[in-house]
Amino acid sequence: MTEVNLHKLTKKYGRKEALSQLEIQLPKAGITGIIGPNGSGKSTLLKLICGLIRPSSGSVELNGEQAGRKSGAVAAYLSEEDSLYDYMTIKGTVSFAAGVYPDFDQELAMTLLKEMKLHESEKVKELSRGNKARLKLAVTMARKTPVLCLDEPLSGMDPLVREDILRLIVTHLDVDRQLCLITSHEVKELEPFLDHVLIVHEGRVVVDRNVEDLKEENRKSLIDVLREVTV
Amino acid sequence: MWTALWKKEWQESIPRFAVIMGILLLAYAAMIYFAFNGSGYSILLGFLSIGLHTVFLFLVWALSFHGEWKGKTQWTWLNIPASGWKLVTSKLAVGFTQFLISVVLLTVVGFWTLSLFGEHAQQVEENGIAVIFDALWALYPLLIGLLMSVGVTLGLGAVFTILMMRIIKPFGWAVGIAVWGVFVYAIMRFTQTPVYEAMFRHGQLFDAEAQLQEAVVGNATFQLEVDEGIYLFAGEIAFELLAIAAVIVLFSWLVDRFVQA
Repeated sequence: MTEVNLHKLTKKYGRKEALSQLEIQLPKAGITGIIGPNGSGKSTLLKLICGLIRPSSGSVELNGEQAGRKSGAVAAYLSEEDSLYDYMTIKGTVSFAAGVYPDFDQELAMTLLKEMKLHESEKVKELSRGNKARLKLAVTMARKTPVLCLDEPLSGMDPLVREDILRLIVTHLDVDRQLCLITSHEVKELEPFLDHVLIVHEGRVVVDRNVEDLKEENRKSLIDVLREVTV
Repeated sequence: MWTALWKKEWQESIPRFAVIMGILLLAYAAMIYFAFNGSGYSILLGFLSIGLHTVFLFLVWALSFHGEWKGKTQWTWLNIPASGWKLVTSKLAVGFTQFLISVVLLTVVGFWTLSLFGEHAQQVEENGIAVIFDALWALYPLLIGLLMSVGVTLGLGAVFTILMMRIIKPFGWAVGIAVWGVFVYAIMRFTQTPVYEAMFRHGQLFDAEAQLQEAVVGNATFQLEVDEGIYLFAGEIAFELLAIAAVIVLFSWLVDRFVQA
């Protein structure tokens, strides 16, 4: 398990503040949803945790160490964008991942691909958007890192793909040892699987709660809470 | 891990390398055709091919690094838990390997074209071509060293500028070009100092003057004048290699500490 601590974390793009003075300790395991309106700073938060971008001030610590380029060993990042190498085949993508990620479980990756009916010999550039999303997730899940940062994995996908993705996460995440941070606008669909939620609004975390506690206390769905706090 | 990165870079660069080689092969075919007809265009195309090789590394390295951001794969590339030097050197090594392959081909075609041109040229020109052939062959190590030095300097400058673009926004490219320009100028000035001479002008490997005189000896038609003191020293090569190594260490540090996806 990994401790993720944000200390006075601020990120600016030019003069615009994307995140402001975040002071949070994330849960050590389970599924944490990061939700909020467009441009609220959700993706920025995941990129900072994975060390892909640098804080303007403050810090992100993974097990007491500053997040940076080496954080890839602890935190796997799944981008919202088509971040696969499109000249590779599916098999080539998996072999490449096995070559560069030390804890990569190649057998698991191949099993996941079979489950999702993806053919090894297909070229990435010839895959549909949904299949690219499936492949990206299969590769990320097979990395077996203590932290998984999934940036909008459901965005723009049809219901079948969304179902596949959520099933894959729930089935293959080790909820006792791994922390899965997932940003999404599909709050209703995601809600049943969440252990914890962060609601981000205008660069600040306005809700940081266990989902069960939150629902019990407010007697409202997450989407209603989101509406209430982001008005 | 480095092997997997190298393989990925090689695979990524193949279409680009094929296009460059395609263009060069067309130029070489034209060079040979003109040489058979004794036309001076073959020499002109030869110079153009050499010119293309000075920017070869600039093109392939710049496209390789820039390609990560253009293809939106920087999220994957920078999330690989490998030290920066592995990410950087795998890209540089692939480009340099392709550069060497191309230089070998250029050498073979270049000398062949020159000998064909000599055979098919007018009698008066024939002697001249033979001397140029011998002189070029004699100076080959120096010329190839110069080509590599210029190519690597331009190529590393391109990589530095691209990295600066990902560190400083929005004017990282200007900072990159300016800093690289100052760095190259400083190195050039340093190579003209007595300190540099004392430290690195040792271990003479090559004497251009002697080589040239040997190449044109007995040929009364040509008087070649050579500036005294065109030498190639082992110490100077070591200095260049050290400078390149230091730049690669700098790039690795920038990738690990400052470059943002």
